[in-house]
Amino acid sequence: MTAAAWITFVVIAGFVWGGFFLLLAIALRKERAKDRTERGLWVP
Amino acid sequence: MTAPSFSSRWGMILTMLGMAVGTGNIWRFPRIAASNGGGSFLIPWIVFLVLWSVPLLLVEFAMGKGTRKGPIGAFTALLGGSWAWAGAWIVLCATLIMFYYSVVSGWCVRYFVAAVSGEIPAAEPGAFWESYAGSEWAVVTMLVGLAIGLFVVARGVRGIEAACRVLMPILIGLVVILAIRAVTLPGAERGLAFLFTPDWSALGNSRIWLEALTQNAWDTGAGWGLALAYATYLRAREDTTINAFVLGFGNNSISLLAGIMVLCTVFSIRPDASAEIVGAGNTGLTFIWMPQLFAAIPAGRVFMALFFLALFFAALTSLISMIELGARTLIDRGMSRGKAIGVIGAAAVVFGVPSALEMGFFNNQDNVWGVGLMLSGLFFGVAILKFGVDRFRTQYVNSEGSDVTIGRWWNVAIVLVVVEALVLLVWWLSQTLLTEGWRASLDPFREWSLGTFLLQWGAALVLLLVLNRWLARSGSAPGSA
Repeated sequence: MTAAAWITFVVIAGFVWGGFFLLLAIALRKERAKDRTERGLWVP
Repeated sequence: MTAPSFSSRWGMILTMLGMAVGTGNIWRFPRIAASNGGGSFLIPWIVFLVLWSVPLLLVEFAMGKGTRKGPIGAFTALLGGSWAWAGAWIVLCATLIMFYYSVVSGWCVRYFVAAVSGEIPAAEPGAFWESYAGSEWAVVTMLVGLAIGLFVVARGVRGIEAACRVLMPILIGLVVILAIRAVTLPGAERGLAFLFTPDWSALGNSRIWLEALTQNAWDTGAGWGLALAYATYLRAREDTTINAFVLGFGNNSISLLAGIMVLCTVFSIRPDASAEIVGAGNTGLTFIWMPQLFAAIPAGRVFMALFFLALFFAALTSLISMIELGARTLIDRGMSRGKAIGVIGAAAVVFGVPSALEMGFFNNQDNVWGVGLMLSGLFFGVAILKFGVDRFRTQYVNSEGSDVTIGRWWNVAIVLVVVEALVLLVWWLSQTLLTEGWRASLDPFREWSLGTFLLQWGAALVLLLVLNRWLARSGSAPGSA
């Protein structure tokens, strides 16, 4: 693999996979916050 | 009685991912990426993830959650009864795809069984495919795939969610295992280099951009109406925005893994034949070449079985969503779910069998309704423009439960979606003219011709316009779900 291929891999995979895991983490965190709010617990 | 809904956000995300991740991620993405410049293709591919897939998924999430109706009822609710035909086109297109897609699910079942029983490594894979495709056995396996799909959808949204909660983690796990196996094969780095080496000059080639847009249009499920049908079951507190992004990025994440899996295997085992393999078409790559490649690696039969199991799960979860779209539409008419499943199942058998028995018919339907999906995407975009992009964004997208607020960039994205859909339609329809000439391209009885597109689309659109008043009434009847 050339340096250009490695850089493309890091950028593309980072954007797609990194984006997915980051968005998923945000979604699940927001969901937990909604659960806590519905149960009347304190939300930071 | 409370309306049925997803039990949790996690279950909903897995169900939506099941809809989006289909065979196109596994058998089309690696082939198209490889034959369109590898690393150069990936750049427009992520550009259109943001400029086609995500904006359209947002439309579908918001329309489904906001109206609680399938596409016909949703278009009627937003734009009035005179637009019911546009929603009906979206349902018709996806349902006609479901008829022949049940054949694809059957192929995956057959190859999984054949891989487990050892039939394929012993036989010439090409010969095995030739003797199976188009035979009565293809009908039998189609019925198996269809029956499983109908069984799941008959259990309602909670049944679909339960199935996807099991199938999707297994599917993702299988693709990860197969990708790890592929990158650890000797010479696999050639596949990685091929997939990720950019050729910047290729970015000036419009074909790469159009192929990347097409790949996003077909494999994320955006603009098919399937996400809309599932979104009718979102809980009131459910977000639309982050979920649409998660779905688009999650789908493309699996495509990228599949690309690594397939291309590393190809370049490790048969680097000499790589161009021939990626040029062999979806079925040629999957059902003729992949078995040969797996046969050449240690414990290849195990990995071949896992590959076809993954392919079957991908096909099944997408098939389920297509059945649900048809069922949801009939339920909106006031039909019970059981009766709706019966009607959809009977229609799928009648109209799916010709595709199982005749590859020419299968290819024709794949061409006509596959490209028809771009018209579906166009209808979604035009509907939002007609309703008012800003009004839709404030009333439906940034609605109750939304975790983040979508800004004005989305207004621009929707205008771009309409332009992209028009460009795609012109490009796809003109290809037949450019390659075949006027006379051949106007022949309506060819597998791939402008004539067959115009005849089948024209017949469908005339029928829907004639039935529009009835569609508008029936699309807004109270559903029982």
